[in-house]
Amino acid sequence: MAALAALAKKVWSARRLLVLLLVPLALLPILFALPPKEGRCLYVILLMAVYWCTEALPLSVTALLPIILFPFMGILPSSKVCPQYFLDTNFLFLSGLIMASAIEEWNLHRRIALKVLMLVGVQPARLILGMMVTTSFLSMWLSNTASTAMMLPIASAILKSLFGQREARKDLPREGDESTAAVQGNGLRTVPTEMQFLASSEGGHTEDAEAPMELPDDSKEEEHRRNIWKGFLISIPYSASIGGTATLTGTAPNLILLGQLKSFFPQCDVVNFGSWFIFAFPLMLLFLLVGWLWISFLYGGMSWRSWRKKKSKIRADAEDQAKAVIQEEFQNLGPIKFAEQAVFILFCTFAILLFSRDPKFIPGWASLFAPGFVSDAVTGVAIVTILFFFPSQKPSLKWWFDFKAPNSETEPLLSWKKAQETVPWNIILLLGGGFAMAKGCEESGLSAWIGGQLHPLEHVPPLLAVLLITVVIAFFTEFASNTATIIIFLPVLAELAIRLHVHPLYLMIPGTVGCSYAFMLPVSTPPNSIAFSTGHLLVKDMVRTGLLMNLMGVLLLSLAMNTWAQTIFQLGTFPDWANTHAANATALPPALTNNTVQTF
Amino acid sequence: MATCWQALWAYRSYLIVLCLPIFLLPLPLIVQTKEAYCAYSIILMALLWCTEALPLAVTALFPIILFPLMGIMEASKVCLEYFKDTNILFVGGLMVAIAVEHWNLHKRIALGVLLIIGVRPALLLLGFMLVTAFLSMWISNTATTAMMLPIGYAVLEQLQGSQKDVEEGNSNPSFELQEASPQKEETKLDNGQAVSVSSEPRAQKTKEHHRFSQGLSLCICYSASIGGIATLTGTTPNLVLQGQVNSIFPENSNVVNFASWFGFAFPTMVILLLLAWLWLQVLFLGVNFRKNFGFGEGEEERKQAAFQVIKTQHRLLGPMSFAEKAVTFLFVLLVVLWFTREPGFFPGWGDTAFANKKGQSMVSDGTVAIFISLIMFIIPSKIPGLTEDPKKPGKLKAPPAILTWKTVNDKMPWNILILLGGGFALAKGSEESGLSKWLGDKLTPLQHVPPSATVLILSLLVAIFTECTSNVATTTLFLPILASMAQAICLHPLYVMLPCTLAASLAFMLPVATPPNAIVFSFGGLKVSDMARAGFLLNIIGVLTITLSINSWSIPIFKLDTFPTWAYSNTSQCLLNPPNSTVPGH
Repeated sequence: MAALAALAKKVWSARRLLVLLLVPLALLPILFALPPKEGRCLYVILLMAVYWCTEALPLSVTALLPIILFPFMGILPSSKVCPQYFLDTNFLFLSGLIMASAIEEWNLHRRIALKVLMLVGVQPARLILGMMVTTSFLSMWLSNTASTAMMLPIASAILKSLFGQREARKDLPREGDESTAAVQGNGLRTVPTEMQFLASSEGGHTEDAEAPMELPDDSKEEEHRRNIWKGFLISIPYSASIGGTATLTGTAPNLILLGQLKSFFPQCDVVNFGSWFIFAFPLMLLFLLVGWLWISFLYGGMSWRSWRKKKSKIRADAEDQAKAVIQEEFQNLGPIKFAEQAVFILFCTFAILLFSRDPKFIPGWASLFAPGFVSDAVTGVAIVTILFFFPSQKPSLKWWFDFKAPNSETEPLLSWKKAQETVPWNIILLLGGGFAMAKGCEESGLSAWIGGQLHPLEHVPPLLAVLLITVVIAFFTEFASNTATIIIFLPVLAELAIRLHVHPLYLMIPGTVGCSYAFMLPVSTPPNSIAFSTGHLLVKDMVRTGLLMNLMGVLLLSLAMNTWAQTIFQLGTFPDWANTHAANATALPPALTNNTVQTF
Repeated sequence: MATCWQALWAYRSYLIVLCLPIFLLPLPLIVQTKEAYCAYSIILMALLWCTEALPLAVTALFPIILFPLMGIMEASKVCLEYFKDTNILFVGGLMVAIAVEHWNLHKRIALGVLLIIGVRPALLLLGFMLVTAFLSMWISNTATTAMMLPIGYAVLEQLQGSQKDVEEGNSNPSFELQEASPQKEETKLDNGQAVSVSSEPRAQKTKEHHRFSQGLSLCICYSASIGGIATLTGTTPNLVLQGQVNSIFPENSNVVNFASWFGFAFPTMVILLLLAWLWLQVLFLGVNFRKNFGFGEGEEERKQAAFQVIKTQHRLLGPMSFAEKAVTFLFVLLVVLWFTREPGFFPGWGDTAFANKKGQSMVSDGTVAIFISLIMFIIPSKIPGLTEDPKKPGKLKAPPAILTWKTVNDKMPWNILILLGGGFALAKGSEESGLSKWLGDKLTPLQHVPPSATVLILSLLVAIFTECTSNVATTTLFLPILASMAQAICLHPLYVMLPCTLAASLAFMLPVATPPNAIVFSFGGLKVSDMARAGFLLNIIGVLTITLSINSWSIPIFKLDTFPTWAYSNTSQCLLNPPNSTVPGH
């Protein structure tokens, strides 16, 4: 028995290597069961899917597999695979990342966060709302991970002041955990692995052991404090994930959608920064509100009952202390600097130009130039270039005539060295891998083959199809990287839409947004694992809260798709640009395209 | 008044970035054609690159902004140019290089070779040059120089210490023990001679040593640059050439690949390295070849001391680890696969096993590079791999792979990747806007100049230009023009593009010319005049060597004696009068 246990341990330790070696062998039958080209492409995709799900290789290294396997298997020549890694979608993403690193460099995000918190007050429910609004706003523009990593230390500081010294002794052992979370955030490259998950689980168990010792002392108050902690900590990663869906550059899956649309339907120009925002921002607000209500009810309910009784003097004092903490943090930032102002203005310009390029309901500034030439990538790179030469200190006329002043050269807002360190280059390669995979699907005919296999689904009502798809993807993404999930599903959804004679966006957009709704497990997405690593949350807390969050997300998404999304993307008709693809894939009677979606 | 100029100097980067676009505005405003718009973009980028007012990679992003706004190319087409097959070859090659660096394999190779060659002054110089050149064929020139320089200085210090011992007549006990008793008598005689001679010989020896140390420093950075030209991935300008040839002449059947480039460039490198060695020897060691090669009294002890330094460093590396063996094997495998994929004189494995309908290889050199890199992320760095996790007793932990993403992310020069892409976008824009064709028409009169003279002059021009500008920027700016010119005068494009690509790497005169020069310069002991004087003749030698190679063995490799079909363009006069030969024959 002991020998078996030891052997099991050894196998577990070497599991990464085992997955790497055995999966390619296990998938070999696929090569022979399917038509040659389609089979090979499916083999590559499944291989990548398994590697991504198990993270046997770094995600971005797995993303490079098409460069090796597609040429070897005769699917695509190398000269066609490689360009997929740098579409203009990648440059839009790169410019967003560089802008984010400039904001972080000058701590602009921290100032914004503290300012908002000062406005909303420090009652528990309101505090949670303030944290959620701030986090989601920041994660629209920064990465979800960076937003979470920045907000957690602030939340911890506030909570400590609220609950005073009694928590101090308990918190001391977890200082390390919070430092770890901060480090992870700073790195911006950390992707959770199963090892981290196991370590976190053990940490959770430790807390379990500690809890009973505290119970005899005023168990009601203790439970209240613990709930407040959990509510705070769980609301931050959730709002980071929700906020990331609101802008095209907010999270990678959104850009995957854009890139794959251009790959499958070259004529499609419906999705851009402006139109996406108009669709996604209201959805984000709605979900944020509903999420806040749910978390407040689940963790802040005691507060409600306590409030009705009477507010104790001690609690009032605690709230005053919390307010003082926030103000102190704000004071520590000092007066706003020239560099912060400059970054803020450039950031606003960045956003405004992206919105107004081609809003669809009015002509944008892009109409001043040759049609079809200017994309969001042009806007992004233009603004980002300015960051590299705009001075970080206010140019002074006096300085020119003061001969005693030092003649040192001033620094620009951002240096390349800094950008190199903070930009997560692996995600750019990951994006590229997705595009290359999609291209391979199309060229090898695998997409058409899958479409043929999905023929029976033609009788399913589109409304129900959307709901089912979103549910499947939302739960699949709990176990796999959001980006990997959408890369795998989008080509299938595109083909399915054509089979159902439905507007492709009607299926692709819910899938894209749905895979950002990863609320149930720490491994689902980096923000979750960062919050989990603080040690105050158990897996079951996240599962219990997240399950309903997932369901509400799916319902709200369906609501959005059947209301204002119809207008924005003209989902009521089968578009011409999809007809071209449909005609190539299958010969279908054109009459069927007249009516594709039932509207109520 | 002087302070005002200092103020201007301090703000020069900002002033350049703001004023240049305005100063150049007359061009597109007066001549409102696509060609002029494209020329505006290129000149603006050229000047920003030369002055480095912006980071090179940021300037390389300009085509994404300017080409769409000026109606030259759509944004979606410009962006595609930033990550082509050639860029992936760059990434894959660098990942392998990073693995070699990470496990210190390059240091082991260097010390091993130096032990074999010996430590006589001339041979020591040759040893360092051979090792540096070989390593910089595969690793970046900068990393090679940074690694070799400390070793060089350690050897120099030991040589100087040993020389002092000899002069003062104080033999080390260890040497006495090793020597036979007759040596003692000779030592006594040496003592007598040393005492009787005045201080003048000592000063002369110190001066000689100083010259030698200068020579050793220069030979390291020069051979790093020379070695980099031998392989396609050795230095970035080589990849720029491949990418531009594939971009401007899409129909060429992969003429420039790893194997064909090596066949052309490696002999050139060997010849140039040998000539450089002779030149540096004459310049820094004098013409006394007998002395340079170690014949003479008193050299034995110095030789043994220097040998001991290298041996000690080699021993400190310890036995070869599993990771080093794995990297060595994968590295050799990579090179073999590259050479045998599509050699040209017989069908390679790429042509036979992975051919498309036209019989061409679907697999490229980039595919091979990524394949080998991928294996490095899989293979563990220790065997047996399982060890106890120090932090948690009883828990087993697998060893990390040979390469981890964090290592790659930190060491990969992503800015060069973008710089490479910017060059391709620039070339594409020139073609789309018609600027290339316009330039070709303007350069038609050059048809009357003998081709070999054209090549010589252009190589010299590029070699001079590259002293002041980044090697990559130089190549990026010149190659599209050369391609247009070659088409216009019915010359094989590679006949002018190849020499200029090599010439761009011949940056020997100034510290700012290339990072290896800057590293050596920053160690001290050298003045700009030292580098300029040594480098000037080396530039001349380099250009002549390149001219020799392009007119001899390169002709059969690339078939330079005919105008290739893939270079025909609609407006080319070559269609009307296809020449039998474009190179002067005997």
